Amino acid sequence: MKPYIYLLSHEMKFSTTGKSLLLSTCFFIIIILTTSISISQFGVKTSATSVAILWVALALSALLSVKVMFQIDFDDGTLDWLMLSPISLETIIVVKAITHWLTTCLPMMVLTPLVCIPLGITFHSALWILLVMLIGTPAISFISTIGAALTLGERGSHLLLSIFILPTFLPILLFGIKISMLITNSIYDSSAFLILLAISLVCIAITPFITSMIIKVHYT
Amino acid sequence: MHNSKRSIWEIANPKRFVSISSKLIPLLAIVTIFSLGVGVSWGIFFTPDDFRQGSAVKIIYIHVPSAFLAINIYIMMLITSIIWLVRRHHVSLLAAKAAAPIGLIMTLVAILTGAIWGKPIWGTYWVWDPRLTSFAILLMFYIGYISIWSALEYNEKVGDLSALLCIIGSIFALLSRYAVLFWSQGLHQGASLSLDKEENISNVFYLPLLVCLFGFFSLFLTLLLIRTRTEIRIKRMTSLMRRNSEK
Amino acid sequence: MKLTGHSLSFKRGESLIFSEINFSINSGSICFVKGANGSGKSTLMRLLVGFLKSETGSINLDNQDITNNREIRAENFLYLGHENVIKPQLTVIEQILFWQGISQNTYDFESDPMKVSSILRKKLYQCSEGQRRRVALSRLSIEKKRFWFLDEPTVSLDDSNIQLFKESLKDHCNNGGSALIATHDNIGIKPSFEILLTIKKSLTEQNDPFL
Repeated sequence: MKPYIYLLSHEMKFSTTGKSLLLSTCFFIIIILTTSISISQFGVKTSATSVAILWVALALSALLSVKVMFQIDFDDGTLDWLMLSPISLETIIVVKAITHWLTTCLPMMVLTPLVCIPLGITFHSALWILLVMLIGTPAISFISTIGAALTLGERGSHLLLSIFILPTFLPILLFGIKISMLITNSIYDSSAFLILLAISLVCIAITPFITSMIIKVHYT
Repeated sequence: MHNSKRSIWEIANPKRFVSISSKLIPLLAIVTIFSLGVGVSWGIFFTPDDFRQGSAVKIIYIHVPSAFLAINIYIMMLITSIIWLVRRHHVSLLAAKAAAPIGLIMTLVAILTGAIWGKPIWGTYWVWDPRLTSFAILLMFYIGYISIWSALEYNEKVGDLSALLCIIGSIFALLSRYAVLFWSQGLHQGASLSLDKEENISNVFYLPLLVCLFGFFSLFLTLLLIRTRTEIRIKRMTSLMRRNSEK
Repeated sequence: MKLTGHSLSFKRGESLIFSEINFSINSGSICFVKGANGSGKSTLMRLLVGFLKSETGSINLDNQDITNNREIRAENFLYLGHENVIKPQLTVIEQILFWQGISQNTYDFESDPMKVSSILRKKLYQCSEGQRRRVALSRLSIEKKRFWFLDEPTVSLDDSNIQLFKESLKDHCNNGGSALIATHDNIGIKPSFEILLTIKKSLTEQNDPFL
């Protein structure tokens, strides 16, 4: 096995054995249920608010597990060691982002068709929204690495991290919500779809380098 | 290396900056008071009401300059942050740090005056028009930048982080802006000022607006210099305290 | 293989931590870095392995400048600092397998230089401080690297364990490896030479632009 594949499998094993794996997924369900219960009592739910709740809940829950991305490795010296390993820092960041996506975003996406029921989105639309999420969420995981790196070494900086990172999710959220909203109205806008794909790919391409720059700042 | 000619980088030395700015601040303060006094009173008392908007139009003498500054202060922060990352001049970093709260206030003023104007003219304080949304986005990135400074102790590492945050912020602010513009047309009129004479608002409003714009700009410079001096002095104080503690 | 450093210096903020560090380590030799607490021993170690950038000077390996060459450093350098580089949730064997997987090398369980085979199934958080340090030191013989940079390697080890460490260090040197060790006491090893760091009289140098 190549070292980076080994690192990925280790990261996956490490983050799935802990008790915190399902926490962000539970948080996702809780946000959606509380908001849809609150809204449904007054009968003002529209498809726009439903998909917005879905995406914002996803972004908020994704933030929960961002802090630990590099923090544990930074504290116990593993990051030091990895920097003197055959794996480059950028690859480590990509591995971390993929792990975050697989352990945080993927479980939420699996639940999406289910949570679409209380939100009043049809199963058919939910499958299409799932496709949009498949394109948008990797970028969310990659952008999150920036926040994790920025607040490295700062105890209790969860809040600080959310303040930086949530606004940077906006481009993805705006396109994701708009496309999903059109889908619930049976409009399939392929150009917006492609732009979301482009933004997502650009984020995936540049964030490892930005994040590695930030991590190197912590080493000076 | 040693150039006998005076270069712009001289002001990057904190001591030089303090001595130069101490001469500039009174001058700028006078210019600010004069131009703001003239500009605002000219705009408010000596221009006719707009034939559609009535006297509500007069808020542009505050709204346009503050909106103009709100965006440009962020650009200035971006430039000084990059200068810090490339040339490691502390004054440059401190200027970015000092400018951020001014930019935040300008953003708030622009949003507030816009809301006050919007109520009688558009019939609502707030509408999710692309320009207004862009200002909400700008507000978030100002808050993010200020919070990193308020949460962490000053050192070079935090300086680097804040500079990187500023750069990342501008990338994502631009992306968000285009995401907002992608679908919508919006209520907000086009720019009130442009170099193309045809698109400009009529001369009666144009001249006092220019004076106000100049006044706001020199107000910003004055505040920036004062705030940067404060930051330099705080930094100098910690350096002195550290030196004394080591003796 | 010969590792040399030329006039290395390091500044943190405006204060100069050390300057004009020169050394040269040949294959099979051991070098001690000595100095009081706060004299910059750890900083020098982290600078040599490339975590910190030196203000001046260069690091060369066989006359090749590797000051900014990550690949060559990653191939030859091993760093063990104050942290044990272990995850308390893992068992000892899981931790060792992880190190083996990343470095693509294996731990010799036959000779077992650090005597970890008796605690392989134990979770690391259940291990004593000394056992954890032993596991941490077992990484030295997993990654077959030429240069060891050890920052206080014998902390929390008892005499018999220090003996184990000394033997594996001897093995390493006999196989042509070298080690740079930051330490307070000599732990009964005779180094080829020492780098002595002194605390700078005034840490705030005059080049602080704010003074």
